[in-house]
Amino acid sequence: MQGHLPPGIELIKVDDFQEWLVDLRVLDSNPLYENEVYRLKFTFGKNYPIEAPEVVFAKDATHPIPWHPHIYSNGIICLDLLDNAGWSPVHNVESIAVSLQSMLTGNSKKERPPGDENFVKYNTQRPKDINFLFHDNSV
Amino acid sequence: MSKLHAVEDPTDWLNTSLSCFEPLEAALRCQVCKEFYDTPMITTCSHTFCSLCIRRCFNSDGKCPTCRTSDQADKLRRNWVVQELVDTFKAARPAALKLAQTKAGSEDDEAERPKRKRKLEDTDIEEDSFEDTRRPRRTRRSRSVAHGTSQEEPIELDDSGDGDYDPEEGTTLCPICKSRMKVGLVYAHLDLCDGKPVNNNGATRARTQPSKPKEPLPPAARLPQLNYSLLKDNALKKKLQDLGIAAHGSRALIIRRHTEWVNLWNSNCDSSRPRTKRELLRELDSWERSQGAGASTVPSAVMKKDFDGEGWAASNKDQFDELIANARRNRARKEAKTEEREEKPNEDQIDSMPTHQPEQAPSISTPVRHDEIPNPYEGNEKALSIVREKVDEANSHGRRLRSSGQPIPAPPRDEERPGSINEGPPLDEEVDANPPISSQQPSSQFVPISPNVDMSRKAHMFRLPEDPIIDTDGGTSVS
Repeated sequence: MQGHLPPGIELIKVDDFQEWLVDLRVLDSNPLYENEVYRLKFTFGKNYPIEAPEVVFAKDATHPIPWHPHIYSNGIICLDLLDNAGWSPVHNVESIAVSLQSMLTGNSKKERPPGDENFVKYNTQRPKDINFLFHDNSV
Repeated sequence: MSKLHAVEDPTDWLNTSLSCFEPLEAALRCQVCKEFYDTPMITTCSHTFCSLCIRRCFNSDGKCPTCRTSDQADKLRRNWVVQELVDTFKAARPAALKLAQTKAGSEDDEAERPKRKRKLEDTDIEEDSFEDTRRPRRTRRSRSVAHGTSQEEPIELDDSGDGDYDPEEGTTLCPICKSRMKVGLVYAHLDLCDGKPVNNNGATRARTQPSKPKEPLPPAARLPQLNYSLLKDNALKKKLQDLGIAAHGSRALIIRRHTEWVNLWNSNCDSSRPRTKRELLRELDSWERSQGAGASTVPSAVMKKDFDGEGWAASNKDQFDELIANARRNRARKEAKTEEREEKPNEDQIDSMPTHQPEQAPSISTPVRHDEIPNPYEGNEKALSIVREKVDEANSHGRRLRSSGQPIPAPPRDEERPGSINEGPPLDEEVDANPPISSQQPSSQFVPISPNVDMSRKAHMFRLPEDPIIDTDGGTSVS
C-alpha cells in the first residue's frame, strides 16, 4: 500500500497498528479546499478489519478541519462507511481516504452540520458510539 | 515503515520488470485480511474469502463483506481451485520476484524477457525445480487435491511390509490375478481365476487397509452455532467444558470465546491441511490474549453505537447513588479506623482476603481477636441459635477446640453490619462456635462437645448451608 497511494493521499505516521496519520489533499480546484492539507487520524481497534476503524480529522496549526456539511468542527466525520452498520471489512485505509477525498471534492457548501456548536461543546462520546442518522444520500 | 516493508505485499512487484504481477497477487489475497487466501471459501454471492475471515464476518453482521448480501456460514463452499492457485503462486513468488527485481535494473528490452518467460512453459520448469528444493509440500498437496487423499502411499508401504511376513504364514500369490491366498487354495482358485483380483485374504486387506485411515481422515464434524440467548450460564459453561476450552470469565467473554472457537474449528474442518486440536487451542489462546481480554469492555451493551447513555444513567440512578454513598461511607470508615487503631485496616481487607486470617490466628483467645473475626451468621437466626446451643455445650467443656492457623471463610459482610468493636457476647459465641469449621481436626477433639451427635454433621453445620448434606453422607459412610 505504501508504494502507490493515489495522488493527494500521503502516509504520515504508520508506526504501529493502533494509530495512523494520513494527509489528505483535494486535487481539483475546489475553492473550499484549495491549498489546504488535512490530517486524518485512523485508530484501529482490536477487531479491525471486522469492525471499522475510528477516523477523524485532526486539527493543528497547519492542518485545519475541512468545511463540509457532514464534518463537525471537532473533526468528527459523519459517513456511513465509518459506522459499523455501513462498514465492510474489505475497506482499508486507502479506500477510506479516497472516499473522504471524493466526499470533499463533491462538496460546494461551506457549512458545518446542523447543531455543530452544541455537538462540539457537549460531545464526550467516541465517534463510533455516536448514533448518526444517515439521511443525505447526495454525498 | 521499514517494519511494514518487511511484510510481503502485492506492491513488491511494482518497481520490478513484472509490475503486472501486482494485480495478480492482489487477486490471490483475501480482501478481509489482505493475506494470501487460507482455506478459501466461496459464498452464495460468489465472493471468496479465507474460511476464518468470512466466518468472523458472518458472526459480526451476517453479510458478505464485498457486496453486503446476507449470507450464512453454513452455505459456504470450499474453493479448491483458488487454494491451488495460491499455493502454486506462493511457491513461485520468491524466485519470480528475485528474477523480476534483478532484471528491473538492466535495460528495458531485457525486461521484456522475463515477462515472456513467465507466460511460457519456462514458468512450470522453474516452479518445479524450485518446489523440489524448497516446497516439497506443494506437490503432495496438489495431488491430494486431485485424488482426495494423500495418505495412501505410506499405508501401502506398510502393507507391503506386512506382505513380507505373509508368505511365511503359508500364503502365496495367484500367478494370474496376484491375489494372496493360502497355498492349499491356489489350485482350486486357478481353475476359477479370470485375472481379476479376488476379494479374499490378502487381496482384501491390501485394498481395505488404505481405506481404513480414510475414515478418520474426514475432519471432525463442524460445530453448530449456538443460540446463546437460549442457554443459561451454566449450560453454556458446560458446553465449553465439553469442547475442552476454558469456561471462565464473564458471559460475554464466554460467548465470544465460543464463537471464536467455532470459527477456528469449522475453518479447520474446511482446510485441506487440518491442524490438530492442540494447535487450534494454541490459536485460541493467542486470540484470548489479543482480543479476549478486552471482552469485558468491548461487547457490552454500553459500548453499542445506539446505546442510550442518559436513559441508562436515569434508570440506574438509585443504584449509582447508592454505590457512591457506599464508597464515601467506606472511605470515611476506613480513614476513621486507621486513626483509631493501627491494626484496624486489616478488617477491611478481610472482607476480600480471607487468607489474611492466619496471621492473626495466634492471638485467637484475646479480645482483640474477637473483633477481627468476621461474623458469618449475622442475621441468620437459625444458624445463630445453633451456634448458641453449641456454645453452651462447648463452654461446659472448655475452650480447647479452637483451631489455629485455619483460614476462616470470609462472610458476605455488608455495610449494615453493626459496629463490631464493642459487640461483646455474640462475638464471644462466635469464637467458640467457629472451631468446627476446621474439619481437618482430629475428630477426637470434637467428641467432648456432643458425643451423641454425628460429628461430621455437626461440624459442617457452621460452614455453608449446602455442606451438611454432602458431608453427612461422607460421615455415615465412614461410620
